[in-house]
Amino acid sequence: MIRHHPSAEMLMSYSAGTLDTGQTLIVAAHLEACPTCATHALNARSIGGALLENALPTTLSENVTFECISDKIEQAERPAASELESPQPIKLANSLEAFTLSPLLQQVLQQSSSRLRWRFVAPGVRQCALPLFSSPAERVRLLALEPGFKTPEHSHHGFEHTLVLKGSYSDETGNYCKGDFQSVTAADCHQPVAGGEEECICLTVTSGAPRFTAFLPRLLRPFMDL
Amino acid sequence: MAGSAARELSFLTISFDERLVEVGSNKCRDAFRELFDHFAPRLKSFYLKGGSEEAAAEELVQETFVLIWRKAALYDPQKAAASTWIYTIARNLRIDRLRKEKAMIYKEEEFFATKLTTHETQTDVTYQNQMNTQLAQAIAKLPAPQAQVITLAFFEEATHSDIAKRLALPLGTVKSRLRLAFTRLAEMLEGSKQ
Ligand SMILES: [Zn+2]
Repeated sequence: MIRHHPSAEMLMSYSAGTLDTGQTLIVAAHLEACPTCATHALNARSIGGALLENALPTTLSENVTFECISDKIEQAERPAASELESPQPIKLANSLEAFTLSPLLQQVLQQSSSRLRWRFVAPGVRQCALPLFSSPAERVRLLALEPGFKTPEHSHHGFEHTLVLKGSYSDETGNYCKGDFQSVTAADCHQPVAGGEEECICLTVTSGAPRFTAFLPRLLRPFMDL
Repeated sequence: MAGSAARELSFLTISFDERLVEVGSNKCRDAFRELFDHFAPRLKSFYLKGGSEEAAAEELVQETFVLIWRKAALYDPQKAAASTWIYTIARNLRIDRLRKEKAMIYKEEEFFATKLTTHETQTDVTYQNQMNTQLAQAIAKLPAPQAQVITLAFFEEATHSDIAKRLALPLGTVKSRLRLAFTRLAEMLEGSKQ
């Protein structure tokens, strides 16, 4: 049961297409698991559709007539059969089995599996940067915490969005399980602790490096890079 | 909105869903022309508002209709209104155009964009087409400041901080107006499903 969702503003931006790609990915992955938010997102796109349908028209030049569109569709090749069928399930690498929450994310990871590498960050933490998207404003990565791992308390210069793919974690604001979504902004300070039962894997999208409130020299350096 | 205008709208809304189905299942040219006559000049407004030059906007309008023709067989009127489906295609074309203007595109980014479009245009959420007319009416009834931010966000696709700048308002005000308007419209949409 999903209890933590992206904000209404974020769902609206997602639906209007104004989020950067990493944020679009993390919201899309949540929507796959959350019918409530998927409904909100469809409602938001319906608003876009209603605005389009009732917009003030702008006169088209003679370059855009129905006849020229007709010519174009004559020329356009017939759609390939594959375009009209439901997408085939692709065979996934075993390493992607943890990401059943989001088939979309699985497919994106599968595409780039040769470029993905889990790296040791600190005892109990691994991360895998996803160098998939070109926006310099955000960093997209997977984070794996061992059962019971305590992250150092930190706040943020920018935003941090987290989607739980496997396992769970808790912080001052609550308990986050598979499918839950958390947004942390510059004003917030938190100290997530992984649940004790199994490894916790999250997708995170961040801007700005985290700031640590406690002096933890050994852990600080790797997390600055996080 | 006057009663007669509402009836006319309702007639149009239902017919666009049906027209799009006819394009998809029978490759019906007449239905396609009706969609073109209504949506092409409005799509031009949409692309112009999004910052495209005249020529680019018209090129995007043509691309949109080629895609509508080619993908219409995927359209399911149980899942979205024709206008929502066309909006999704147009919005993604605009994002694609912006992406291509950037120096660097990652193949994963393109892959993801394509997957997402398919995913979104085949979303599993059930929808009932009569709600679209009510939605247009509800937008028209919003208090002017709320209608303004909703239009900027969804039709001109301005980010929330762009809207704040353009209207010289604090970001928090923009967000709360958007939230109020969205909640009101969403409640109306949820209510119409029962
Ligand atoms: Zn949700």
